[in-house]
Formats: sequence, structure tokens, C-alpha cells
Amino acid sequence: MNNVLKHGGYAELRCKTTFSFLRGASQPEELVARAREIGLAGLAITDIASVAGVVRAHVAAREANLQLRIGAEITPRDAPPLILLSKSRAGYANLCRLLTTGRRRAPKGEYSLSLEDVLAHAEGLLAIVAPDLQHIKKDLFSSSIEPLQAAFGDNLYFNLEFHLLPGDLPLCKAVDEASRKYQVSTVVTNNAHYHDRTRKQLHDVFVAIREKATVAEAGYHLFQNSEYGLRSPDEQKQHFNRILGTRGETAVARTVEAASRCQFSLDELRYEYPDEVVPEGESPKTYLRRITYDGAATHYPQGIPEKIVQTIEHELSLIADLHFESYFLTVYDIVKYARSRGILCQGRGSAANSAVCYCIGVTSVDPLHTELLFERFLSKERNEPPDIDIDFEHERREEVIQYVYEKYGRERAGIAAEVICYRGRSAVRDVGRAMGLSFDQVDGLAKALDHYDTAAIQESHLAEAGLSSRNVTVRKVIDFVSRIHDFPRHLSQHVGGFVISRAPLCELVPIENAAMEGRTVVEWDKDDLDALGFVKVDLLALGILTATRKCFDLVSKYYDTDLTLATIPAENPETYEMLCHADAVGVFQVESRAQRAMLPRLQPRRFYDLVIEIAIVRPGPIQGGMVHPYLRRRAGEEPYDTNEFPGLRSILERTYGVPLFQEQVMRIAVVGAGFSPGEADRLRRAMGAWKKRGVLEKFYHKFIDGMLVNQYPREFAERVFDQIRGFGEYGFPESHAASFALIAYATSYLKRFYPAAFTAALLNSQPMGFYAPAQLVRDAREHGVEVRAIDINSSNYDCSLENIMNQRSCHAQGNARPEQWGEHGPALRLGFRLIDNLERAAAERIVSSRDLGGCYKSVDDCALRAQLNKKAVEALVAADAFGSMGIARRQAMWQALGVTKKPPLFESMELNTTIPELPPIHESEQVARDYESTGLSLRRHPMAFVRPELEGMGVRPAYDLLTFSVGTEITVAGIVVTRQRPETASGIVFISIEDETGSAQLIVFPKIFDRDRVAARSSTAIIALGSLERQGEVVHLKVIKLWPLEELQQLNSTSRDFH
Amino acid sequence: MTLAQARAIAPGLLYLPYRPEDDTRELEAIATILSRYSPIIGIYDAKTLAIDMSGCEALFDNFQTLAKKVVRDILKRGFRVRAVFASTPTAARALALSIKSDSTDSKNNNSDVPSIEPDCELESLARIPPAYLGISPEAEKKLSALGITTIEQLVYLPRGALTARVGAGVLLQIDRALGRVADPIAPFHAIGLPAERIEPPVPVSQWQMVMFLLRRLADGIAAQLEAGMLGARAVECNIGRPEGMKETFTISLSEPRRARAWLFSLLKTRFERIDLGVEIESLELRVTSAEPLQYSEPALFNNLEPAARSDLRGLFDRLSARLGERAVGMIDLKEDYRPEYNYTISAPRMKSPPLSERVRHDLQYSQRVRPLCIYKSPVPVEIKLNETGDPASFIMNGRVHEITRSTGPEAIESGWWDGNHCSRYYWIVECADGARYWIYSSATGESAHLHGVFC
Repeated sequence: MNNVLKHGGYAELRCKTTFSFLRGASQPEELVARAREIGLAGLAITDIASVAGVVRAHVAAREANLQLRIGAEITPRDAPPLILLSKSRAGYANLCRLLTTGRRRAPKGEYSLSLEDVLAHAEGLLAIVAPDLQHIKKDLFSSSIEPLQAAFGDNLYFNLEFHLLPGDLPLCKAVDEASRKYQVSTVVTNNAHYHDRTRKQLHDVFVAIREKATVAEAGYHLFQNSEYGLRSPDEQKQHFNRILGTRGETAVARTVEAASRCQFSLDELRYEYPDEVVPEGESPKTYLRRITYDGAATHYPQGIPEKIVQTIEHELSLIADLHFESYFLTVYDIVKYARSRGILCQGRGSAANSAVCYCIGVTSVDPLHTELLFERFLSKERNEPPDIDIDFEHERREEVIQYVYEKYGRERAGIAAEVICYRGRSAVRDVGRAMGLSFDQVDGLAKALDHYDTAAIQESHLAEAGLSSRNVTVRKVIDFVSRIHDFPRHLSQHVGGFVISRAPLCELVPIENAAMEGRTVVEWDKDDLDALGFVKVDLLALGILTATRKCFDLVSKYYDTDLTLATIPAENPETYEMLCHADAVGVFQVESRAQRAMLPRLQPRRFYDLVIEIAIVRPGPIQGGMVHPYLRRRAGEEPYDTNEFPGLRSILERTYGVPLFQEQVMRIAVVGAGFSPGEADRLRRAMGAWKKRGVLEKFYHKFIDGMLVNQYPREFAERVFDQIRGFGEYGFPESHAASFALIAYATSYLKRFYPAAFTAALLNSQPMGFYAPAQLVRDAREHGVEVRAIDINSSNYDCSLENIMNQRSCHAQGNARPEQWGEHGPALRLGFRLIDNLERAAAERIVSSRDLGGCYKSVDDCALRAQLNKKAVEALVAADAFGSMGIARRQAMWQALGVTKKPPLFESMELNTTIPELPPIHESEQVARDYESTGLSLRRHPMAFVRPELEGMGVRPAYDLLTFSVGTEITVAGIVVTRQRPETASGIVFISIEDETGSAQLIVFPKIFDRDRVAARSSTAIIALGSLERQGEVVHLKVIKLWPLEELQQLNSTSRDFH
Repeated sequence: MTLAQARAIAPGLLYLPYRPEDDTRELEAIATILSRYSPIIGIYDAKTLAIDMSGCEALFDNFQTLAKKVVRDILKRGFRVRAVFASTPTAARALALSIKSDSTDSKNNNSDVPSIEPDCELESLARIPPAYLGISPEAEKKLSALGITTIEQLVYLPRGALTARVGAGVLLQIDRALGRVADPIAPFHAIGLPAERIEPPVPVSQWQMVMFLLRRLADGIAAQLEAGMLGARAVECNIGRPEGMKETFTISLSEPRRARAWLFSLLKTRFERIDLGVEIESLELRVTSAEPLQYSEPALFNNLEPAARSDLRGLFDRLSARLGERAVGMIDLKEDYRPEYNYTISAPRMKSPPLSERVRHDLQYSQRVRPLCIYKSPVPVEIKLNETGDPASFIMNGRVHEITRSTGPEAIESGWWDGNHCSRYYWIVECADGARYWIYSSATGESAHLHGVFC
């Protein structure tokens, strides 16, 4: 490698990025750019006990043609700070091991190392000792020199720095003297904490945040001046010539020589897959081939179709060429384990394009019935590792994770990091406090920002917090908040991205403890790993898989029917009929407001329609202008000539000539514009990088010209490219939509035919999904399911089914109305898990002692036998769990409050439990208490109690919306169920409210949202005046005004907010 | 509502920090005033006074007349009042809390003060929420969960069972309110600081006479301090002259003292600077600040002998007495790089607060040198630099100071957050005449100043 440092005469060897959290104030890219600008010969990134920022610096340095050195700074417990730079691959491995050792010993975010640790890892490293006057006076410096010399030899240097402080000169002289005494060379650094001195104020803010003080209180924690940025070679020479003469100048120049000795680059890192997944006697290639064909035989018992064989061979060949067999086998091993434990799992994303993945059981999309594009997943031209995402039941994913740790060990398996960056609210909180705003001002301003707000604080936000931009401090807060947007704040763990390697992972990247017990993370995030070609597998959690499996268990128990995702009857017309009426609460992927608005328009009648339904309600197709043309053509409102472009017919026929999927775009580029598959994939990537200007446009001419060469009209080519532009990064792969559609269909089927079991499973898998338990229960009741209240003598911890006479599935009732579907099935008994403040262990004791000793006779009896403390008994009473004993809520509360631990002699005695007469409880209070305890009520809807007053105000029930004509101005009111602000909706917020008659969908434009902010953002219940809009069966209210409904603000009902 | 919410509603809102001690002082002042009506006044809580009028009504015709006078006195101080009288304070308080409207106007308010007739407590309190009995919030919550919203409902619950459920405190309050158990008032005692005044039969101006009077006053003050187990920290002396002219000075003490000799000595020292040509008609001493004084000696400087410590303490007080209380102070170091904010001057005391660890570290390792004499207002100068960029000379008030040696520059950039941003390069310079100065130039080089002198 030609790593000779050319120009400059000075290389900065001690530099911290923002990845030295709250110590460095400049991003790696900023430091690289500045280093280039001021003519540094090289730059070393030396974050505190971390290499988290080096990949970004490496990528930036490569683009800027700057020589980058990789290192870290550590301060051993018993020695001065050391800057360690990697000379070689071996040195880098040692550095990673050392940092791993230090991090694993200490809690998250900290490290603990001794000088001995450093000495044991010296091979291949260059060390710069950076003492201060305290270290010198306390002999920490002198006592460490000899051991360091012995370990590092002539790779040891002493550090000289000058920041225009009084202590600099005596320190430099002391170090220079030591260098003469011990014959150790000196180098100059500037201990850079930012790229430019103008960043000093922001650095001060970071210091204050770190020290949990205001900048005014931070005192000597702050730097005295702004001399801690990157300095040019001339500046350094000038300073050191003044203080140390020629020896100073020599030390400056020596930085270049020292940097030249460090030849390691991240490009040298080679990632290798684990190899123990292959049985003895086989190679990865033969093993993968065998299990693929074994799986194919299982999937196609009538014989493997020729099309599938061809596809398999094509894929295996490409996999072999790229040497990715072990990766597929690693994933296969994990999925096999999960299935052996009965854990539902399914691959998603582009991996569903692979027939091999289907055959080995990683994905579920049958290549026989879909058009797969393997190159979307893997291509020789792209030469990148594949990326397989697997969804597991969210409640059992941890078992899979621990399996991976156990199988490969902590040294070879780690979860990818996720860099948590400053966003609006977090930035406001930290910066506001650091700048001395009071707690309530900071809290008010943070809450005034919505989650989707960018860092720009508006006047309206300030006004809501009682602040004004006329105030100088407030202006500074606004400025700093905007500047630190996207700055790293701390490292967390990725949701499930695992890196597993053959060699110890800790020699590739340091591993540290996560906050969660039993978890360790590597220091690099997904983007860093991708940039270096590391392969990871995403082990994700999907709540609906948990709910689906629980539903299967309930169906098996109560209907004696064993269902799996593979055995659910396909293409059931009643199921699709249900979806066509937007009856989709609880159904995966199609239960949202937008999806339910689309279902009646799209009218899905077969599986592929569902695939389209899932893919079409997304920003990509919407922005690309594909949705309306597709719907019009599908409805026959617009002609579509399948013969118009015969060459593209097979690609576009299924979507009526409108490209809806990434794979279609890629195929058009290949078939229509003559792109190679690899070029088509690059086009796909460019679609995803549309935010970077000019990236997509590079393909414009090639695409248009290619289409013209193939005789396609320019107008058509331009139209398709316009759609590609609009696709942006939001277009779905068809394979991914198909994977999700499988689950969507399965859950639709379960809802249609086993509504009680389906609802119970959803309730038992919370939190998940779009709707809260209250809406799920309401929906079940609207479908004829009898829902029974929590009962001390009948409920389990989980919601369960109870036999009622003549129970059967609704399968035979093809023409049953929706409100009848649950009528002949089991009843749904709500479980103790819904009760606030009741621990699971207590609930389980209630059930187990009831099983042993029979039903409870009184509150006291229950408390005694189940060994419940007062808090648990009060929680049960608050949920009215003793109602079936004939004990009214208040009477039960009286008993609960009197629960005490009896002396042993009296334990078996029934004490006098006379209950005095207590005031009767009004139903509205019953409902309020139900909501307080469980978040739902089986009694009347809370809105029913305020209906008389609302009627007097001219407020109509939601049901009336169906009877009014378009354009009518009408006022409705209800409890807020969901708030949603889609990215492509130009700031429009969709609010769903519910009253005792049904629900209403509100469309709130940004001006209205800002004006009626309190009601729109945070009220539990609202009144809305608006004008009616209708599209088929779907009715909306375009809001003119919103008010909070004061009477219900205290109701314990939490909306699901997606913004 | 938080302050932020209030300011969101009223952007021009003027607010002051809440000081509960001010409220306490005000309440005590009212209690003191009301002591003319009853010997037993109790401060119930932050907003409630209890006055035991038993036996006092005879002096004021009847209870109503007495009660109205009490209300009028409070209204005159600008407060709103809700007053009730009953046979127990708890019952009176409960009913007062339930009153919807306050009395607000002292001139026009002559309506009867609501009262509860003896043995009618339950009837009067029946519809009132239990919370007004002064029960704990936890008990209140439990009663609410039971649907108990009035005192009447509460009273008819079985006592033993009720205690087991909501605690004994609830029953105690009920019983107090209904007169079943004693409902005492913890009486408030006003505490005044010592003061002595003397008016000689004829005005005096001779030194010996004035000292004689002063000694008597000092004796009286000392005796009062001793009775109250207090030590004075500040003593105000008011000198009454002919034709209503007054002269006042205050002596501050570095620590609480009450020794009469010491007090007299300080006052005498101060009087040595006072013109006694104009006669003195009255002399008054008033302790304006006092602290409890234990008999043991306070903590001393740890490197001084007892006699020396005592001398030092006395030195502080004597200097203050002679030169004025602001003339003597102690430097407290602050963590601020800006020289003008690096310290504060506070009243002299024997025990300095400990230095923070960072300040100690800074003193030990920073090598920072500062002149003893730092000018509050730096003097503008013009600095000439040599070829190496170091100062060669500076001109101040037209005079050139040739620099023979310099140390620096030391860069200080700090204080951007409070509007007093300092961005300077400092040098310590030694001139040909041996004087050492501390000069700086602004970071932009547009100005330069002399900031201090090394003594």
C-alpha cells in the first residue's frame, strides 16, 4: 500500500470525533474535510476507548484522498493517557482486543484498563504518552516509561502540546527533558476536539451536558480557550519553534514520520463466515445443495417443477461464485433452531426473492407462483454480501438471540450498534438545561415539538413553552439545537442485526456491553458494517407472529384443529370479502387507517391483490403517481392494452401496466432499456439515494436512450423514469410485500373464522399492532363475540376462551353477517394481564391456588390463599374482578383495604367481614374506574354519558356521518384512538376518534393542527367540526376546528400515535 | 400550571421566585398583631391561623364583634380572609375551607362571621368533603375509592374497621372536629430582636457622657442577647440629633458575639469618627441580625494559635468598625477563567468555605499566575510587538514602558453565555524599572489594556 505522506509537514495524531460522546464536537466527515483544507499530511482518529467513528472517517478520507490513521486514546488506571495507533493488521487486532477487554469489564459506556493490559497488547501498535503536570508531579509518567519502552521499543513517543496556557511551557520542557533522559522521541499533537475553533461554544455546551451542569456552572471543566481544533502545519511549527526552538520544529515534523509507520487501513479487514454449521464430511457447497433439494422435495411432493430446478441451479451457481454458501447455512441453522422450539419465524425483504431461501425454509414466498428476481437479492456485479432479515415471535426472539451467543460465543457474535443521535426533543432537553433554562421551560419546549419535528424550532413551539426568540439565551438554544441534529449522543444496540464471524469478532471491531443484561454489541452500526462488507443477519421481532402462534394454540385447544401458516386454507372468498369491506382491525399490515381506506377501492379477491394492497399504500407508489392509474385500470375506468408493449407484458401485466415494485423497475431497465442486471441493481440503489442530488439522474440518459433503441416511445420512457424518480426510497420489493401478504392473509383468515381466538391472541401479545385493547375488544363484540369481564374465579393471566354451547368455527357459515361470526363460537374471557399494577406472579398464584383449592369465596379468602399483598388485592378490586361474587366494587374495595396478614393461629378463621353500607356507584364512575384499571370497559362507552350535553351543543354521533351528504358541515366528538402523520402527507395528520356508535376519521391540515394544537396533539377526547368527504364506503371529516372534550380528559385512555 | 404555561398565556408576566420564608414572616406578623385579641394564637399551616377566643369575648361584647375585628385587621393588611368560629379549631377550619367566597374589603365588610353552634358540629360539617378535615392525601384517595365524599358518610362508618383501612389519623381528625378529643392549638410566640433606647434628660455632646450612655445601651443589648441565647451579627446604631435629624450606622460582626465589653469597644471605635459637635438627643441600639450562640468557641483557623486567632477576629471587626463594613472583605475563588469573575468579595469570617476539587487542582497544576492588584476597569494601553510576536513595549497615559522580559501569551476565551464574552491574549511583562504588569490584547488585536500590577 502506498501510504506515504506527502505534503503538509504535520499530521494530527490525536483527534476526537463526536463518537467520543460529549467530548468531541465535530463529525468525522468535518474533521477529514478540515484536515484536507488546511493541508495536513495525515489525520489519526483517536476517540476515547473506541473506534466507533473510524468507518465514517475512513469513507470520507477515501473520497477526500486524505491519509487516515486508525487508533484510540485510553487512560489506564495507573498511567498517563496513551494514544495508540495501528501500525498493521495485527496491531489493529490488538487494539480491538484491548478495547474489548476494557469495555467488557465495565458498565455500558465505560471502560477499565491497566498499564499491564496495554503492555500485553503492544504488538503492532504505536504509542504516544500524553502526561499532564499532575502525572509528572505524581510520578505516574516516570514510573510508566520503562515498561512502555520495553513493550513498544522505538514505537513509543512522548507528546507535546501547546494551547496557550501557562502550564504548557513547563509541561513541554518537562516532557522534552524526559525524552532526552530516556531517549524517547517526541511528537506534537493538538489534542483536537473539533475541526475548527468556531466549534468551541458547541463544545462548551457538550461539556456542560456531560457534567450535568449549565455552561455558567461548568467552570474549569470547560477549556480555557479555543485552541483545541485542528491546526495547520505552519501554526504548529510557529508555536513550537517559539517554545522549544529546533527541537520543537523537529517534533512537529516527526508526526509525519510516525504516521508513515502506521500503514493499517480498514480496507485490509476481511470478514469470514463461521464454518461449524457444515456437517463433517461435507463442504458448504454440497451441504447447501443437499438441504435445498431436500426442502424442494418437501415443498413440491408431486415432483419439483422444472422452472424451480432451473431457478435453484441459477441461484446455487451464483452463490458458489460469490462464496456465500456459509452465510445461507448460518441463517438456515438459526431458523432450524427456532422451528425446533416451535417459534414462528419468516424471512422478509429481498431474501424472499430467493428460491433457495424458500426451499431451505428461511422464507415463505413460493417461487412457483411469483416472479422472483434473484438479482434483487444477490448479484455478481454488486459483489456485496446478502442481507437476510428474519422475523421471529417478539416474545421469544430472545431465545434465538441467546442460542446464537451460546453457539458462537461472545467473542464471535455480537449485535450491531445503533447510533442514537440528537433529534428535536432530546436536543432541546440537553441544550436547554445546559444553557440554564428552567426545567419547566425545557420540558414545555420539548413537548411542544412533535416526534417528527426536525431540529428547527418555530415561534409556535416557543410560545407554547412561554419563551420568546427575542431572548438571547433562547436564540442560542435554537441555534445549538439545530446544529447538533444528527450528532451522535450514545451507542445503543440495533434491534436485531447480528454479526457472526469465523475469527474472533473482537479482532475486527471492539465489543462492549449493552445496557440490556446478557447482550453485547459491536461498536459499528449497520451502515459501518455495510461499508466494510461485513455480513449480518437481522433477527427481528414481530408481534403479529406471536399473536398468530398464540391463536394457533387456542384454535388447536378449542377447535381441535391444528393450523400452521402453511396449512391455512388458501384463497378463501369469505376472507377476501371481509377485507373488501375494510373489516380489518387486528389484521397485519392492512389495519391502518390508510390501508382500510384503500381496501374498499382495491377490492382484494386473491393473494396477489393483497400483495399489491400492502405495497401500494406507501410513499413510493403514492409519490410516483402509480396508485390512481393502477386503481383506474383495475376498475376498468381506464383502458390498458396488454399488447401495447409486448416486451414488457410479462413484467407489467400483473399490475395493469403500472410499475409498482422495485423488481419491476429493475426488469424494465433490463428488458426495456438494455441494462445489465447489475446496472439495474445500481439503478435501484440510486432510487434509494434520491436525496443525494444527481445520483439518479446519472441513469437518465442511459435509460431513455436504451428504451428508444428498443423502439419504445420517448413519452412512455419519460413517464416510466418519472415514476422511478417518484419511487424514491420507499418502493417495496415485491418479495417483501409477498412475505407480509402471507401473514396478512393468515391473520385475516383467523379473524374471519376464529374471531374470539384471534382477539384473545392479540390481547395476549400486547403491546403490538395499530389498535389498543379497547378497540380490539370492541371490534370482537361487533362481530358477535361474547366478551366476559375479568373474574377472580374464571380468568387466567392470559385472555382465554370459554366454552359455550354448540361452539364451532364460522367456517360453515359462509353467508353469516359480520355481527354473527362470533355468535356460535367460544366466549372470550379477559385475563388478569390487562389489570394495571397486578404482577404476573400474583396472577399466576391466583390461578394455581384456585386450581388446587377451588373457587374463592371472598376477597379475604383470595388474598390469603393466593398470598396477595394489599396492592395486588386493590388492583383486582379496581378492575372489579370480584363482581361475580356479588360483591360491588366499593364493597370489595372496603374488604381489600382491610386485608392484613393474619397471625398464624387465625389464618384459617373467617373473620367478621361485615361490610357497611356504602354509597352506590354511578355507572359513569364504573366505566371511568374500568378504564383506569384496564384501559377498557365492557359497560357503556364513556361517550354515552356525555351524549346529552353534546346533543345540546349540536354534536352528532359518529354513525350519522354515513347519512349525510358530501360537503355537509357536521360536528362529532369522541375519544382519540390513533393519530398518524405519514411522511408523504405534507404535514396532514389523520386522527381516528371513537364514540358509542362507531368511529370517525378526521383529516387535520397543518394550519388547523398548529392553531388547535392542544386538542390535536394531546387531548384524550376531542370535538371536531368539519366538512364531510366520501370515497365509496370510506368517509372522512375534513376538520375546520378542534376542541378538547373537557369532561373526558381524565379518562385513562391512551391513543396510539404514529408521528 | 407551570411558569412556562403561565408565560405562554401571558407573555409579559412578571414573576418573582417564591420565598416561603416571606410568607412565614407575614403570617407571624399577623399573628403578632392578633395577639391583642387573644393570648393563644396558633399557626395551623401556611395559610391558616387559629385563635382561641375563649374568655376573651367579654372584652369585646361578644364573639361576633371580636371575630369581625380580627377579620378587619387582616383585611387591612391586604389579604383575603375566610373566617369561621366554632368550638374546635378543626371544625372551624373545615368549614372555613368550604366557604366559597372570601372577605375582601375591610371598609365595607360588616357581615357576620359564620359560626358553628356548640354541639352542632356534625350538622354543620355533614356535607363537607373529608379532605377538609386535614387528613392525608392517601386517606383521601381511599375514601374516594369507597365513595365517601362527605363527613357525614364518614362518621357513620364503623370506627375500628375504618381505622384499619385508612389509618388512625382520619378518626382523630373527626374526633377533634366533633369535640370528642382535645384539639389543642400550638401557641405561637413572637420573637423580637434586642433593642435598647435612651434619651438623656438633656442633649449631650461630651465624649464621656456619650460613652456612658453607650455603655448602658451595650449592657442592655448584651443582657437581652444572653437571655435569648443569641449572638449579634449586625448592630444598628441610631443617633437622634436636634430638629429631627438622624444619623445611622451599622456594625457587622464576623461571627455572632454578645460580650458586652466587645460590643462597647466596637461602638466606641466607630464613635471616634463621629462628629460630636452637634448634640445628641437620643441613642438607640438595635440588633438587626442575630444567630443562636453556643457557649463553645467557633471553629478557628487551623494554622493560628488561639491568641492569634482571637487577634485576627478582632482585627476584622475593628477594621470594619473603623473603616466601614464594606471596607474589609474576604476573597472567595470562583471557577471562571475571566479574571474579573474569578473571585468574589464577601464579609470576613473565620471559616472559609472549602475550595472545590477543581479549584484546588487548578491552583496546584495550572501554573496560572495572577497579580494581587487587578483593576476593576482595565487601563487602555498600546502594545508594540517585536519580530517574534512578543510585546516589546507598551504606552500608557502617554508614557512608554520598555519591556525587558515577557511571559505568554495566555489565551482566555470564555463567558459567551452571559453576554460578557472575554477573548484576550495576556502577557506578564517586566519593565526596565523592575515593575511587573499584566497586560492583554483583544483577540482581534484592536485594543489592549493593562489589567493588573504584580506587587
